[in-house]
Amino acid sequence: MTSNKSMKTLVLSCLLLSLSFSLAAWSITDTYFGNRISSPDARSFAMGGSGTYSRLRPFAITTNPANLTLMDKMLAAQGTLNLTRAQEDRAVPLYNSFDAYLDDAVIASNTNTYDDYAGVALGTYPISNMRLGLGAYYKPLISFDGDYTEQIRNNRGTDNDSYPEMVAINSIENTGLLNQAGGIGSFGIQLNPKLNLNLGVDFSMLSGDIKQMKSIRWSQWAIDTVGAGVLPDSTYTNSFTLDGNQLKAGLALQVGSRLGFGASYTMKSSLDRSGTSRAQKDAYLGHAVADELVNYDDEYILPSEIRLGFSYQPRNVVRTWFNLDVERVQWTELSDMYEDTYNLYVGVEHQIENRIAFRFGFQAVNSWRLETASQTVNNVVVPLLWAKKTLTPMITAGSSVNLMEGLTLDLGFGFAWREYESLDNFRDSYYNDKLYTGSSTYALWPNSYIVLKDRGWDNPDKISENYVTVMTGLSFAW
Amino acid sequence: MKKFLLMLFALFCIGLFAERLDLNTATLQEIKQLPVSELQARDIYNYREYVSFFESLFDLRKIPSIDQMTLLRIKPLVLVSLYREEDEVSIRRAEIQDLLERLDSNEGGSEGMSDVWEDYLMTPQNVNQMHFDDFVSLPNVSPVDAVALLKRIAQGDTIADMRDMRNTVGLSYYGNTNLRSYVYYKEPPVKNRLFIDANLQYYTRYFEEGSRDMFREPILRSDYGVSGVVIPHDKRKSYWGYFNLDKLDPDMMVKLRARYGNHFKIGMMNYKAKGETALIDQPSEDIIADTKMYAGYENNQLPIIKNTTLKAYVGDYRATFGEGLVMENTDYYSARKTGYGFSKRILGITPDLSRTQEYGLRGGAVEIKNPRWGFTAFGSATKKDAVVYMQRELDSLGVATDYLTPVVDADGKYHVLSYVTPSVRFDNDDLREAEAQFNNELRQGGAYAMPYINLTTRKDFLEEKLWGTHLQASPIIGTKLGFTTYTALYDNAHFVVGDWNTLQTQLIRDSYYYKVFKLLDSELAGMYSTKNAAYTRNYRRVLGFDASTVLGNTSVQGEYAELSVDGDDLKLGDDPKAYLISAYTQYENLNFLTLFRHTDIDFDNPYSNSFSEHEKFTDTSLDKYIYALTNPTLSDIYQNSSQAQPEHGIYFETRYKFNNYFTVGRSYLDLWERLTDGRRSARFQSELEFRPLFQVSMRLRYKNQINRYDDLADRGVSKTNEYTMSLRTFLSARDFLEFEYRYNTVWSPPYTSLTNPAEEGNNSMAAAMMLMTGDYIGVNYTHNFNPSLKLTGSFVYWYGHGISHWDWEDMEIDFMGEKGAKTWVALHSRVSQNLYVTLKYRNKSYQSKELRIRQYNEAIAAENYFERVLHNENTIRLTLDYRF
Repeated sequence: MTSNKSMKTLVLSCLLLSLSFSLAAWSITDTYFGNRISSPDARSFAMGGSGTYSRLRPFAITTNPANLTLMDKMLAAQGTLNLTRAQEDRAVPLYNSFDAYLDDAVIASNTNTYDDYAGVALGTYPISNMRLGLGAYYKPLISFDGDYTEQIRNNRGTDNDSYPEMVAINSIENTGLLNQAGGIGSFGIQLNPKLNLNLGVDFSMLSGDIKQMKSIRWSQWAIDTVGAGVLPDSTYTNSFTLDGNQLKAGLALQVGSRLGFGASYTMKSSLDRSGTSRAQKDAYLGHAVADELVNYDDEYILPSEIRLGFSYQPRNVVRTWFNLDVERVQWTELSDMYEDTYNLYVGVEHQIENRIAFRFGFQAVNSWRLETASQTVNNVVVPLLWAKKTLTPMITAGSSVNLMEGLTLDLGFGFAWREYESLDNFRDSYYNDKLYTGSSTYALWPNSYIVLKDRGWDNPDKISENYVTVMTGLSFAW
Repeated sequence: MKKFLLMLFALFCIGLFAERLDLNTATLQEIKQLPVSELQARDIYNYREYVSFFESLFDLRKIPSIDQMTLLRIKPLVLVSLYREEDEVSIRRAEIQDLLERLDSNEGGSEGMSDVWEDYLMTPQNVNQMHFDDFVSLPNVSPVDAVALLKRIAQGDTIADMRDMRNTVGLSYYGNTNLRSYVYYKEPPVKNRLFIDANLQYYTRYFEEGSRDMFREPILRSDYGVSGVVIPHDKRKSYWGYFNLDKLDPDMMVKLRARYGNHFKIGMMNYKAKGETALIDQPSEDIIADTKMYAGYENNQLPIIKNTTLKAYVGDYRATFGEGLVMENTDYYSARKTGYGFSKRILGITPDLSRTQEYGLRGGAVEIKNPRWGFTAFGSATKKDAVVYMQRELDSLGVATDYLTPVVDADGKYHVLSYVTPSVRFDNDDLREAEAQFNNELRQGGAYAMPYINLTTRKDFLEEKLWGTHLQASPIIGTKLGFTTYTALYDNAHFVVGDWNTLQTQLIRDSYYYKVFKLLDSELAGMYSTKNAAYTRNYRRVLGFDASTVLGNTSVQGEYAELSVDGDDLKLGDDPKAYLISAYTQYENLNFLTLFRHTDIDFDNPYSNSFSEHEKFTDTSLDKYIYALTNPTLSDIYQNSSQAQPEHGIYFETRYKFNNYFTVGRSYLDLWERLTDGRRSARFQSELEFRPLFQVSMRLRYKNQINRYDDLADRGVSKTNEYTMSLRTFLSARDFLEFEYRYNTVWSPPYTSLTNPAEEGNNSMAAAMMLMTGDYIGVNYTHNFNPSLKLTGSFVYWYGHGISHWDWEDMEIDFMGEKGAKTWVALHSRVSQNLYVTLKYRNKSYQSKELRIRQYNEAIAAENYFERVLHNENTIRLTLDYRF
């Protein structure tokens, strides 16, 4: 009877997991560095991603390999699904008649959902006052997923409160993950009743297959207005693979029954990036069909990371864990364009009643984006690459349910947001139909005053993104 | 025989219990020996280790895996000894926890004073040895209360305990209630030891409306639209765009204080505001310059001179005397600062780890005080941010470039206009580059415009050496005479402030806009010069007298201050002056305050922080016409002003609890005249609370303000009414629920930007007076899950119709746009007895009317009209507090 009940619980849990969607709201602006996926451990996620020193869930070993022998479990496994809803609002600056910059008006709002999954298994074996452990895991490290659509419309009839015509549809479709599959070895020794030292190493294989596509399609109204075969559609694709490996070492030190310190060092990884970029544009006035293909093979570097943290378990009327991690990402290893960044992860767990956990946390993560610009030197336009830092704060909360002894379902919820400036994804000069018709007047734009020229850093887009992430994790420990 | 039997029984009991396992000391292995499962053993161990020591065996039932059967099974085998982990410090901290939280939540307004009060809460002062200034520096303790206690002690009586203190004749209910947590009677609750307070704050905030508008103002050439010149829309031609102030950029504060009892104190604080360079990226000299630190010694029982206190500080400190007319150094202004109730000053020298930067004092200070006399001397040497006169830099060929260089006098000194507390302390090199880009635009304009940025802010520019002293004598208890003076020496610059006509050309960018420079702007012309046609000097000196006395249940206190300009230092009345006198009468359930104040237009004392309705420069061009300024950031002189506006007026305030059910809350009437333009105003507010049950309270609040009540034909007339109703319920477990509704009306001359938008044909009718209405509804909730976890939150919706709304939000006041909704939630977690975490998230979504009518209301060809713009703000604040 009992085993039947356990089986039911297990089946129900798996069903719950399979029903949960994973959402990862991803920015389309980070086409080069992608979007780093935070901790796959739903408990750690609910505590702001903190957990350099953690012994409670198997996925803690991916943050710090030394956590493996810190867990005094013979066998453990965990599976995680996460669903992210990403919203991006892209706005352009508004000016009043005195040329005063007022604010920004949203011109494109895109909401998409993405899902990811991850799994880990480990085993440890005690020998005298020592413990040896081995583990293996799979998780996505970086997501390149991103979807974006924007409509280009003229302003005909807006005075009369009618809809202006759609001129073109722009879209971006990016897919791909940098996957990480690794093995972990760890060694722990109980130096004395109050001191437990653990050392671990994580070696992982990284591989990814990424496809990015950007297209401009004229609307049927635009084609009907100027005639078929006049307006050129465009498609830009960039497909590449990433291949390499990563090495991480960690230390976890338990000092007494309340305090633990963790440290991990992820070495710089050089990945092989090879791919093809292709630009296709239909023929138009005096121009033949363009189809340019460029193959490339270069180095893609992931910077090294140093992460330090501690976990504190005080005596409290509600059982409590407090975790705090600080991480330094050494971006200067890539080039002088970047600065090293510091990330903060803080989380608290209170077991409110009957071991029902209430977790909350906060993280502040800095990332770099690459933006383009140009500079005119001696009348020659020189393209420039800019690195821009973006802060992404996230608040998190979560809980867990003990389904049966050793089997725990964790739930984590996160809300993150960021605001920054970026260049227009699709430059306005493209929609100047005079280029294609050869006429001296617009056919698609009823307002003859409009100046269709590219917006540069004089008036960049303002991007507001927010991400809602739900993470579920089922872990078993024996 | 009886004794023998008793001893035998005792030995038997010891023997009996000796075999039992003490759950409060047993190891995990020992617990496992009990007839319980492995899981139960571990749970028992974990409960004791991570939740609580067992106070009785029945506490075992609080563990989910221990059922009644298990309890009964192990009950004969175990015992629990009395075992407590708490020391006297944690017991004391638990006693004052509510007050600590209240002080933390008031920190936004009190700026650094909470630290001092928190220290006194933790390590109270001996009520039988305190001086008059010690009493009146505590929140809500009046001079009448202080005198009542001091007279009793002077008669040889000793206050023995809390109940004894309550019986002091003349001590009010409010005074007693607030004082009792800050004092001890015989033995201090906590012995001298090392105390440590560490605080980390991470906060992603948005700029307040004034700063936001200031940074967004474009810097454009003057002849736009005049001769067919097309100026491209370029966001970078504003500080907002140039410095990319759109990005999320957190405020970060790290504060560390340590002290041994109330004697030896050290502390440091670093605050990095939004838009400024992160601590980690700053060069070490900047970190030292911007980090506040102090070390000090205090002793309230000096060994040689009886009943005398000594305070000596080096580093950053605050100095406050009298009514703040001569010296109260802070960057933060608060309206109607009476010095009574919770609107207090801490008199004398105190260590300073507040966010005050511009008017911070750094150097050394000594204070010796006796009940009869007091002496304070202080000195400071710092570099201040200033608004500096600039000129275009010449290149090697003598050709003017777009870069700026400070104007230099014949004597080699620079010219500065004013002190300034910048909204963002940009790096000087970054500002120089930004200004060069702005100048590139400006110089292309017409000849009648200011073709370059002629006045700009420079960080740490003005070298200031300041010294001052305060002497006081107290011949009888409660009567005090004081003299305060300070002199600030400026070695590298002259303060140069032109007359009204000159300033008009220096501050206003274009003769077309000169008309916005009004009578009110004589306040700007009243700023202090160290160099003008009459004299040249290198200092600013302020002198003043203060006095206070207590007559029966009334205390009278006041201060007179003069800024030395062209008169004799020691002659009264021949220099710009400010004075204030107040009388405070208190009964058991009633108090009444009358306060009269006057501040001359040219009393420009940056270190003053006294009573007024408005801060200095309100409604001047620096406030209202940012777009017309030669440099929009000049508005910072107003935005972050800490001085009082020149006013002359009388203020009445009362509070009356007339029975158990009804209380008239803080009610006041202020009648005043603004001296620059003679505008007379009246402001009245009253609050009535009805509390039929302890759990339920209803509040009604009414506020009315009339500006220019003496001349209804004037443009400046306006009548504002605000009606607020709230229902509060005090639930069990200290939970709290409140509903609030507010309705406002404003009756004023028409502002066409609010009534008729700038579209052709919209403004063809004559406009009369205009009535605007707005309302606000909100709910506040506090829920205590348990002693370690508290949730507070609020939801607010408002519709302004042009009226600005405000909301007291947790720790700060929030001003809101035209229409919107706001939600915030804060989780307060007590991780341990020493560690506190607060995480607050806020979402505010509001609309603002962005188009402003400036010079005329004519439609412009091909103009785009943007009616309203939606703002969506997400804010997070993380606070970590460690108290040892």
